[in-house]
Amino acid sequence: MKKNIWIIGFVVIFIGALAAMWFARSNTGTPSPNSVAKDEVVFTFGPDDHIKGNNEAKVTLVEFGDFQCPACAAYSPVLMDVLKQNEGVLRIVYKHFPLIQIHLRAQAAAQASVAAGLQGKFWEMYVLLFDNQNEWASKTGTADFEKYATQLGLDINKFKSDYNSDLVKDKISSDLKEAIDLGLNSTPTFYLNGKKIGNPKTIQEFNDLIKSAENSQ
Amino acid sequence: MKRNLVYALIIIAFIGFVDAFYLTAVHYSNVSLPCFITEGCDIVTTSKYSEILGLPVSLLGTFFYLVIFISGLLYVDKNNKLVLKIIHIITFVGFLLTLRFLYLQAIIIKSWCSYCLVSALTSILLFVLSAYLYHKKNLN
Repeated sequence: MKKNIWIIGFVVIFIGALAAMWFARSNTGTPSPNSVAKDEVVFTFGPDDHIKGNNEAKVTLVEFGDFQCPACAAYSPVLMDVLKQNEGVLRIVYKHFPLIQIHLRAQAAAQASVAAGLQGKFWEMYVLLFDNQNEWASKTGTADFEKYATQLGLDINKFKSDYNSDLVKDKISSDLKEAIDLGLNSTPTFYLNGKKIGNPKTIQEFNDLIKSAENSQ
Repeated sequence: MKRNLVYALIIIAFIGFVDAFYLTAVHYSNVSLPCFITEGCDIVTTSKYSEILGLPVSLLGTFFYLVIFISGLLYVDKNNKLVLKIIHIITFVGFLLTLRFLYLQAIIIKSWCSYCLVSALTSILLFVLSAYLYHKKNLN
């Protein structure tokens, strides 16, 4: 028995390791860099979606973003310019894809934005969060978010209670689930009229893509 | 009775090993890429707290449980008091680290990872069990 215990022990631990590896490989609950993003998607938008621009616009740009992602912050002013230059033709829809594994504050910021959205100031909060990413990203607590909410003239008590509400969290979870189901693995990811586009490097590149999407309608 | 407790220790170490090995496998299968301003941020499976000296905590956990598992077998085989003492010391260190991870999850990261909680439970059980075994031995 005493000698056998080593053999039994090693067989057991080997089987355990194999089982763990098998489970790890079949793990699908979190976004993976190995997933392949869908190229074409038919989006449907509801009243709780964050939409900026003419709702009847011919061209729709969907952004899957994360408020703590530096690349998304770099795109924020670009997108606002692109929207201005394509007024009437373009609308932008923001979907939450908080990469909580690398960005500890992404979820909190997303909650702040949705809570602002419930008072009609989602896009104003969007700009503030991206502009001040360095300020809030390294801190805990909600003081910064409340400061922005005050700046935007929001009802602060409503903002605070909305911030923690299931309504707000459910909106973020449903966007996140959509992103994972689409196989997305990086932020920002853009879809133009349902077609995935690579991240444009310039405003002109955006404008060209929008022009061709408009013409192919 | 005592022998059964040693077996319990080995089994708990095995559970902890599978759990930690799973987390390690997940960590390494989702190879991480840094954030590039122009390209975007790619997913990694980690927060900055999930590594110690460049090694994922789950990998350290895997070794921790493996050492306890093998030491348990060694104790069954040789019945050497020294082995029990070593197990006791290692599980105490594991217990302290567990407290730190629980603190990080509760206060800093503000989210709970179910697999990490399983690991917390197994390492606390190992600590209690080894303390009992070691001190009981001393009393005898």
